[in-house]
Amino acid sequence: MPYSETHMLKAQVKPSPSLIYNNLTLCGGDLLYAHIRQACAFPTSSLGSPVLTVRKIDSPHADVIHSIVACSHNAATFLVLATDAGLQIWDNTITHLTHVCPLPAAGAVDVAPRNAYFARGVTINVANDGAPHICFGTSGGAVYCLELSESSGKFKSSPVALPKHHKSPITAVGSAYQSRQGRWTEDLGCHLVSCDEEGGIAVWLAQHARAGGYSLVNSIDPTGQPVVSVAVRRDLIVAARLDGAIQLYGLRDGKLRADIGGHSRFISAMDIHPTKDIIATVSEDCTLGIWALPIGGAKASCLLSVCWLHAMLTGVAFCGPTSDDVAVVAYDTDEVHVYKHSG
Amino acid sequence: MSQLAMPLLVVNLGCEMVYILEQRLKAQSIPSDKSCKVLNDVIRTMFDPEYVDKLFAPQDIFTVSQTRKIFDRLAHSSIMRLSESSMDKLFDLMMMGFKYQLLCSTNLNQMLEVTLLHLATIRSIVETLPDKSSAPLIGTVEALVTKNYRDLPAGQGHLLRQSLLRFFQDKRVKVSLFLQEGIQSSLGRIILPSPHNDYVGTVTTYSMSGALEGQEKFKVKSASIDRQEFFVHPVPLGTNLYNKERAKVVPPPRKGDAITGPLKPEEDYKTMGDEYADRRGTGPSEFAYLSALLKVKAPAADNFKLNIFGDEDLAPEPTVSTKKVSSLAFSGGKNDQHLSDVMKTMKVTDGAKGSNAGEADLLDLMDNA
Repeated sequence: MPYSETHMLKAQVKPSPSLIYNNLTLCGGDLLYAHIRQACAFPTSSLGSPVLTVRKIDSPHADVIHSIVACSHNAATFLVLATDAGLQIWDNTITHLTHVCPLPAAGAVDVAPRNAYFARGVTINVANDGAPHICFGTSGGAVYCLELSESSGKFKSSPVALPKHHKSPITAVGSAYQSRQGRWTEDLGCHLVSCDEEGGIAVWLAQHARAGGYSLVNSIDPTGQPVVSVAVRRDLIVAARLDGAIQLYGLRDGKLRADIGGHSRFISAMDIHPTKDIIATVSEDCTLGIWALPIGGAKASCLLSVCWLHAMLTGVAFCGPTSDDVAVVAYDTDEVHVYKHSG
Repeated sequence: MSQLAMPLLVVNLGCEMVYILEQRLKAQSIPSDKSCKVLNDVIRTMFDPEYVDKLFAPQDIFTVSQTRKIFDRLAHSSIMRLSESSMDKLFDLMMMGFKYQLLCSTNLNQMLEVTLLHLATIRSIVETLPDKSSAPLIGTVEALVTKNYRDLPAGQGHLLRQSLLRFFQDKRVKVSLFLQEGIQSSLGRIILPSPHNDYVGTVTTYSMSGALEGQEKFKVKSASIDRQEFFVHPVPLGTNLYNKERAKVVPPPRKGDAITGPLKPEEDYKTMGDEYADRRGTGPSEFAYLSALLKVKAPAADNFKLNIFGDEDLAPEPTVSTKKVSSLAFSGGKNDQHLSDVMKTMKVTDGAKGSNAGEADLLDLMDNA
């Protein structure tokens, strides 16, 4: 087996990660997580040391972070933070805040009184006309896209709203391009997937990233269980639901293709390997699972199953020179565990 | 962020506070009329209708320091006085109590169940008092809690859970009772419920037409770990753990800490009462444990006079001390105005006025007991 419970490194990280969805992301040579209002980074190259130097990202904004996602396009990688105030977009060294996108005021009217207005869920997509753009969701149920100008390397000043569809806060967004970490392949497509708190999933097609550029092509009815993390791979939606199920749906027909019993409760994060059809999921029930997906004729298999006692896992990320190692962090725990791939 | 967190936070922390106060009043053999007054005053203030109305309005969750200030005021809503150190310890116990209840909840409905159990237990405490006048207030809060949280969808419930756990992040205190009953490991980590069920490891595949194609079961780690390594404490979450009449819980032997091992020194956790090994026992050892927990009997080198929580303020006059309680520094934020409004609605009785004139402070109670 390529992974083993014993082939694991651990190191101390401080401060501890918060309990938000998908609280670990790989940006360039750094792994990043959120501690309440602060993004924190540590280099993957230092993972052999028992104590890591964690760099707290020096931001002028002190808003609660709901998503922390690295988005790559060609050679460029951005760190995107979705917060109570909107988006912060940082360069790949995470020293320059290159763009701040406030939450659109118009979206506030759709926010239920029991929710604050915040952004959550971030992905990068490429439209049919080749325009790269960041997509994000809000607690008002809206999804927006923010175009990146390839000529200037800058983001457009205002995001554009997708047509209204979701009636509850967005929990996750994903795309095939995000799942490949910005490595373009012919079969990627231009689809965006958005998910909401009621468990509904919407599939969109991007012709361009300007107003009217997105159209709804498919939707999956709400199941009551929100999708915590979503990826797109080979015309399939890979959706990790809060109750512990990882489900594969057809991108175009919305039909359920597979159901994986990943965890007993409260999945908190999922990452998909950029080049292999495998996923890693973690949960508040202390467990990590690495699964080969039943895609393209392959059979499902469990590559690793571990239990980190007394730790509510909150973030997982493929990392390492070949992206085969798996890093895991836990809520309120000052450690990172890295499961090394023996390949 | 959920705007529904504050009621759960205040109600559950408040009930934990009443549990601890009730136990301390009994342990100190405080005369029943005085105990009754303290408990009724605290409960009445905490569940005052106007205050409860403000509490249940959708709002951002307060910071820890802001919440501490509310409870500092609540604890001082009667004739009892606490030193800052005692208040620190009380607040730590309250925080760790509710934190473990949240962490050990395996489904979102349990947040509601824990809250209702807290309230029901407070009601049962009030029912034992000669003056039961605060009981109807509890009923009102129970109804509000049920109305607001019973039908919360999973996504909303989980957002609420995340908001609450964000509040408790980095609050790590070893509590002797929790260590002794296997709620915390020897390293101070809260022991979490088992991750295993029959569904985990099952892979089901479907054909393009939606028909079942096959099902396979994979071995998962959680199935092979002894269940005793996980949270197996028998009492329902929200139970009054400080109740002396409760049967002692002996935790199973666990290998857990040897497996996970500490990475950071144990002194990174605050420890309360570590020096007292026995929670149960007659006479001196139990008193010693509770004393350490609540600083009842301070060492000779300290200048505290005996009091339930070892109050620094030795003022002999029967009125509420006009000395300002040591200020609790907290950073200003957008909730300050709201906090101020909330505090104004808390009807804290001034011992110098009205019907409370002439009531002794706790020092006098101890002298008269």
